[in-house]
Amino acid sequence: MRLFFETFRSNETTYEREGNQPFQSSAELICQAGLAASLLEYAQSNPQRATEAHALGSELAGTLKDFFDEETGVFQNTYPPRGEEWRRRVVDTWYLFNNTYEVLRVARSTRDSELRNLGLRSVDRLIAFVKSCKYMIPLFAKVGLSGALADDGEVIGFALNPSVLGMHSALLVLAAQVVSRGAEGGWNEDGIGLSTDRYEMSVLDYENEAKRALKLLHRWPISQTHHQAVQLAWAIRAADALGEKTLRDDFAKSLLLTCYRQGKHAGLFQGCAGMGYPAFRETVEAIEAFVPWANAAPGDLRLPDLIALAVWNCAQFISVESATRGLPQEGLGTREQPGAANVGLAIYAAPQVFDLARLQMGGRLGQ
Amino acid sequence: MTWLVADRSLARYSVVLLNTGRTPIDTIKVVREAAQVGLKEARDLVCSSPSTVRSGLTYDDAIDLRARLAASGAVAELRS
Repeated sequence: MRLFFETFRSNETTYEREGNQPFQSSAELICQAGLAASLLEYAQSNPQRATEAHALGSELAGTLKDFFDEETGVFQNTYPPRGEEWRRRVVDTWYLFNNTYEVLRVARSTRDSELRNLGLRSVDRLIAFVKSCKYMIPLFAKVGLSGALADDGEVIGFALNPSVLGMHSALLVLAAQVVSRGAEGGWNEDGIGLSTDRYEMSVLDYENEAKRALKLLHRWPISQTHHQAVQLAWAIRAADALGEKTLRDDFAKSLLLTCYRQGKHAGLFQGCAGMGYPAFRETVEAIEAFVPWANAAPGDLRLPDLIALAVWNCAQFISVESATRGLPQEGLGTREQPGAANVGLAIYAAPQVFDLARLQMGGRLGQ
Repeated sequence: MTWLVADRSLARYSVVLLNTGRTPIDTIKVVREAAQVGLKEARDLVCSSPSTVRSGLTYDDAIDLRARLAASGAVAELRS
């Protein structure tokens, strides 16, 4: 059986199939790969649920190669192949980086060398894409054909999304980990192993490129870097992994500007710049970025307190309705945006339910 | 003299979101359904207005989409 998750459905706007029309919905890689990666890592942290989590994660992992687009050399977000990204190669840029990252996480868990190699091909394409953009990544852009990159990074519309550089950097750090000598064992190579020049040189190349991306992101005015909390959160992760403490702390201070500090929303992070409501996915991504170094963080950041508040208040997102129990709601209603409580279930945020559970199972949140 | 009358049933239109009103969440819902994209992508489309929500629509469908966007508080226009 091949299991696909549909794109987001709202509580209020779920549409019905009309007559004998073929079902027109699409699956999203952000759900498929995110859930696969989080389930597989959750399975390793919780022996009691390991079998079922691993089985579902593996089933989802088996669908990921379908999203790879040979023409552009990147993973597209939707399947079956249709829509703007497949027809016109117009993409919402941060999906490219997010999804390739999740694919490599899955490859690392499953030791599937074919998936790893597709992921590394995508990484190499994204390095070229970022350079084509001159490190000023648009919100929407064209992706050039692999091998003929004439229109790579062509801006669609006018908006920029500079903090995608944080995701780019985190992706490169992960790629370096995947190709390092230490990650060599246990892969199901089947004659498609990494070429020898993929090892030591690639690790250095990836890490140097990751540092360059972080330093360039650090130059941007803070107001330009808040499109989504997850992007700065990944910049923090990458900076911490690369030992760039000044960058890490500065990105953390910037990310904390999107954190609610009062009342029942304390410790939760805004879903998107200016949207005016806290979101589950963004909050968990922020927590995960802080956890590895929270106890060593400068005292004025108060990260341990903030993490404890965030975990406690995250419970508000989780549905208690019988049909949807355990699934996260997209947002919580606020004074500015009371309707945010009714946006609907966020399937793409379901992976973070398992990530949060994994962090708690690992005792890393002190719970 | 014979006047050539444009046949609206053959023409195709794009609906371009120019700006959102005071309730962007309602606009995001309309965009998400019309463009058949996920929430995040719909949000990015709204954030980056002016942006094309749908293209290749018939006149009636385009007018209908513009009306739904207007009901959400947004301003949109048809482009041929």
